[in-house]
Amino acid sequence: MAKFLLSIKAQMNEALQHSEADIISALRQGDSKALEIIYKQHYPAVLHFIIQNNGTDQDAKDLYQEAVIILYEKLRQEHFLLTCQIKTFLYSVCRKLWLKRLREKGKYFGKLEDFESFLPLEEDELGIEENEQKLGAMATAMEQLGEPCRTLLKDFYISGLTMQDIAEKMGYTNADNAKNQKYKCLVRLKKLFFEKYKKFEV
Amino acid sequence: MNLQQKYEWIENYLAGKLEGNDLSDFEAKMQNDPAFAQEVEEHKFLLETLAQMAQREQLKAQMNLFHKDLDKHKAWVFYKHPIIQNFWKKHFPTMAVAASVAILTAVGVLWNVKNFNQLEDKQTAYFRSLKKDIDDVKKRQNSLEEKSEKENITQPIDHTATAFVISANGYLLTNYHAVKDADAIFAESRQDSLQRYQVKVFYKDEKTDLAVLKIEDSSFRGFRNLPYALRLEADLGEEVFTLAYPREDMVYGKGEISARTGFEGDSLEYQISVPVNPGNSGAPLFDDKGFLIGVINRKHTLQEGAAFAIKAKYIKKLIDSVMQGQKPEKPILLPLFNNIAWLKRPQQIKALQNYVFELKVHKATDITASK
Repeated sequence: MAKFLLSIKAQMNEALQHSEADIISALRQGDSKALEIIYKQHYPAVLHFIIQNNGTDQDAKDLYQEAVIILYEKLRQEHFLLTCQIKTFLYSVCRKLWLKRLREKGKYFGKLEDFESFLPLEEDELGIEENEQKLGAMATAMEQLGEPCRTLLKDFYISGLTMQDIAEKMGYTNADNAKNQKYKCLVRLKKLFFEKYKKFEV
Repeated sequence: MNLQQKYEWIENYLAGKLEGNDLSDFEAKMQNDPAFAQEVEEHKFLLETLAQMAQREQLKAQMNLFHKDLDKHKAWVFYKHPIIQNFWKKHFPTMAVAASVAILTAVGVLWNVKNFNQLEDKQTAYFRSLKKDIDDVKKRQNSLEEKSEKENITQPIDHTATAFVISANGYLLTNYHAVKDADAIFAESRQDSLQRYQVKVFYKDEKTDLAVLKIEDSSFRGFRNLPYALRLEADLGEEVFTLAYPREDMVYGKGEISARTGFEGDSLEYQISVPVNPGNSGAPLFDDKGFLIGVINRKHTLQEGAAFAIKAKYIKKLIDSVMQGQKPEKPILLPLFNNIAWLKRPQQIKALQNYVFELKVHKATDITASK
């Protein structure tokens, strides 16, 4: 226990010594240590906000993780410039998401207790809604796709395995067979996905 | 070209694998064939969404690990549990009514019983009251004796200083010079409630002018989680504040960090522009967000508005070395989480005030002198 406390202590001190700019540039590189520091640093403020506004710590965790993901994705985009503090950004996103959930549940009574300064985010400036729609559609599509297609597509498009690797892993006789299979899976995924996500227009 | 070949062509293009004629053919087809261009866009969109989803899953897994760390440490025990909170919100009016009825009934019954007893007990009333008087005298005497033992009233107070809690299990921090020849020390706080503990010097360090005190008092039950955490470096010009006992009541003082070094360039200290008086020794110095950044220890006698505070970095160093050197039975656990950063100043002070104590220092030499 003492050892653990010391390690947390070391981490906290580390966090205090890092400037916000350093953290942001590390996060832009996809540094997982930076992600950890940010994650641990700003959670209490969000938790406090959610609890004081009729939420549970599970709600807080869900929303907070979503907000951190949005920050991460945004920072990974080259043209995105963070114009406020990390904390303000995370707090504002969580605030917006919580407002939305309360409205959906019909539990919004016109006022939130606030503890931080925040950006109002009234329009979908961050593309939160859009992301939710397309990722929702993708999740359902992958679900309906079933195995072995799901693993096959993930292995190829996400883990970056070659067709030869995949053939060996999944027991196809050769790479060409695996390739055929992958093609069929992709056609099905495309169909399922665009059925759900019709709004897409170029 | 069949569909499979077309998809492969598109994917190669998206991956940047097309070259030469192949690439120019592809680009020409995109230009001339809007349906094909749309298909390329769709394909790109599909694969990007797939990748994004995978990345999110991976991030979530990573964050769940971080969250376990937080959970383990229970960094937020200070938040009221939502279920209990909601329960109170919902049922408070009902309970208030029920409680008042109960109290009225109880008082009514007692009153009746008292009247009834009075009729019956008139004869013994005289003896009773006498006995009560004697009991009272006894009680008073006992409490006087206890008090004189506990408070050492024979020893006059030599001087006072300020100390603050550094570990919730009963360690305070103050200045070395405030307690160096002390014989008996009492820590008192009169904010939300009166707290008064006998403390002993646990460790003192002349070089840094810091001393760790340990509460050794049977009435001590431990503090609640501390609302402040240490911040090791503070910047020039930052707004800072302190809470101290230069007189019987707690006094708030505000100022700025006016130099990165202290008296005669001492790198151990900051110079601060906080009004400081005797008794401020050992007072905590907080930054705007309520992080502990130092301990006030002295002021410039010739220069107005120049006081000095020992940097938090050296508090940490001292505690680390004590933990390694003395290996105390009860570990000194520096607070890690600051939960007052988002509060306004008066609320911050309310959260902090119960952790700042007035030290009353008695000296052995004084007793011999007075005897």
